[in-house]
Amino acid sequence: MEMKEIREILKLLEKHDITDFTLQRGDHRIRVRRGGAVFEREVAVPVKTAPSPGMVPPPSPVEAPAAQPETLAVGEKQFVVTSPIVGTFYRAPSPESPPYVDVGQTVSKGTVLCIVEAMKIMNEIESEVNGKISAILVENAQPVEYGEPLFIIDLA
Amino acid sequence: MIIHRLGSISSTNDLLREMADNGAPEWTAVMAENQTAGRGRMGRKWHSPPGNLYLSVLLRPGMESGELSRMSLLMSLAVYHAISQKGVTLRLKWPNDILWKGRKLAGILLEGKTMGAEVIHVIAGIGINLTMPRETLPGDLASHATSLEEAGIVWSREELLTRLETAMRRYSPSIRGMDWERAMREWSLHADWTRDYVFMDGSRRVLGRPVELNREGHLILETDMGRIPVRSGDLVEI
Repeated sequence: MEMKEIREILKLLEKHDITDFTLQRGDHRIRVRRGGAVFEREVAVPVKTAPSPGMVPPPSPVEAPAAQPETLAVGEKQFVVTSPIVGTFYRAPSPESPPYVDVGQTVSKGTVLCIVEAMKIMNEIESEVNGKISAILVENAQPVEYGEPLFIIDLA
Repeated sequence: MIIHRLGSISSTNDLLREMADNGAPEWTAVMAENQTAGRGRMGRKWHSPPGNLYLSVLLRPGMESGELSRMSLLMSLAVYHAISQKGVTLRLKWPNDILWKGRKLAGILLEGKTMGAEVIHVIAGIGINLTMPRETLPGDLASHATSLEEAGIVWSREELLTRLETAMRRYSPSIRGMDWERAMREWSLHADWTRDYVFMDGSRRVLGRPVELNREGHLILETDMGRIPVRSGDLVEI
């Protein structure tokens, strides 16, 4: 992960007042916790231990063994919305329209969250759960891969 | 197909989408004389004066979300077959434009809705230019758009509707025996592989020539940087 990306994440966390965030890519994991004005950053060294299923990151700064590649560690009461297709992520139906959802917004099962365009099919992604948008992980008009995390929803 | 025939309407896709959300069955369709807010992707306008065909069809294909993009090639094949007439050569442009002499004869706006791996519905909005007097076209449309009349294709609107339904059912993934690989081969046969395009995706601009489809139906473009797959974004003629 590049410093630029880390800075982006920090900015987003601060903006949306997120206190604890973990992102894992392959063997690398970054965890950011915010308390008061203090930022804490950790970058994991590659670990080859087998993952334990359903693992939740421990509250201590000690790094847990690496889980599967491309997974995003989230809390038990959170739900990650992933892209069902390869395509381009759009937060609004057209450049002039307001976004479907924003961080902090309450959503219910069936609420449209975004569009992923693939081969000119404008595909609306509906929420599978009731809750509140906790993070939006992709910038508007960026390409997304199959299974890529798009949103984190705090479950109601 | 149950077709609701209407006069002037804002957008056939918008109305059908409301009907879909209220539980309308597959093959419910909306047809309008003209659209006051006809649109393409991302809020672009689809010029919709009276005299052409504006039809939206509700599909509930029993496919997984990951396969949804196949609908683009399948529905363009369906429209291609519906409007084809002996003696007139039509070409497909990736992923779903139907061209005559390089100009657009018909456009398809596909709007899907998925929840997790499940496809809730797909709305296929089809606009076919039956007659488009050149002098009535706004702006640069005259150089991009054409009509069945201009191409010398003489289907009536009713004939077209029947042909569209037959063809859409033939290429619908919910029909047993629909063979994706065969459909892609067929699509490739009718495509134009002789033109260069600028591929635009976000801020990226790449010049290249289409060479083939990959297994997912993405377009492989031969460029200075080698072969790249195109899976979303726009292809603009140079």
